[in-house]
Amino acid sequence: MLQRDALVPWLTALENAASGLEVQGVPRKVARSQAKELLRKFGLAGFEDAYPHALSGGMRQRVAFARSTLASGHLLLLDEPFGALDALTRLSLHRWLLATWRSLGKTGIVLHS
Amino acid sequence: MATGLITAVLLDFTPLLQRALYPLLVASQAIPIIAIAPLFVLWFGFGLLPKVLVVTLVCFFPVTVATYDGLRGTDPELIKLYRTFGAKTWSLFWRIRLPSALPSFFSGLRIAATYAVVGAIFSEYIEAFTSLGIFLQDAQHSFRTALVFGIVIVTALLSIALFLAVHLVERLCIPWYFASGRGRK
Repeated sequence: MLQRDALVPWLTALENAASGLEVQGVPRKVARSQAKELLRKFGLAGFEDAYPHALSGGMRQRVAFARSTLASGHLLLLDEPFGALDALTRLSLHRWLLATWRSLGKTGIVLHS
Repeated sequence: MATGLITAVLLDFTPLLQRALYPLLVASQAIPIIAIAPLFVLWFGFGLLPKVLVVTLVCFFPVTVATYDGLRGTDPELIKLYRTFGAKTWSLFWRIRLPSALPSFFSGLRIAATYAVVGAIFSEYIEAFTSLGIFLQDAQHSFRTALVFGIVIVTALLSIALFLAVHLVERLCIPWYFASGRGRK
């Protein structure tokens, strides 16, 4: 996962989240349903069909995080995942990340902030 | 004209060849159309074909150059990210590079739309029975300036109509580009 959210502007939140799986050859339906589930878990239910420009910075990062989580194996590298956000959003996403982390069952390496 | 545009798009879908063809493309534009258009009539006979070829020749260059730049200008971070996810070259092209080149493609298409009318008028200048181009020539030769201006206005309106048509298609095809505030409102 990059510092910038690097979401694809012509895909909706759901399509973005699923896109990592889809390029790996996972069938669209499977990828979409997994992405939908994860987005709900990440507090983005109801925003599946929103395009990135309509989402806030924190939401965009969470979509990008969902995309990386789905597409990665057991190891997830997060390069300053919340570095591009303002201090308050970053704090709340930090708390959220710590709370969600255990349920993902992955090893994560966060490169500060 | 439509044939010209479609040909342009087809020509454009060969990014590998493009590097080899680029100098040739530029050379094709350096040849004055005035010199080559009568030759087209010689080679391909009377009728629609030489006219379509002239319009194609005029149109495909802006489309090709713009789309090429669009393809090359894809956000490198997106490419790197999807490579990391394991995207193959082909799926990267379809999913990431091609859509991100679309705004540039449409810029080229808008330029081409205005060129197309000029190209068509000019090709009709060379050889035609009933058309704006030959009508324009007749009017000029008989010093009917008012008629000439009339034809000029019709031509301009045609160009504008075509330009707007392309713009409309563009808005339908890439709404995300306009919605994200980067396109013109």
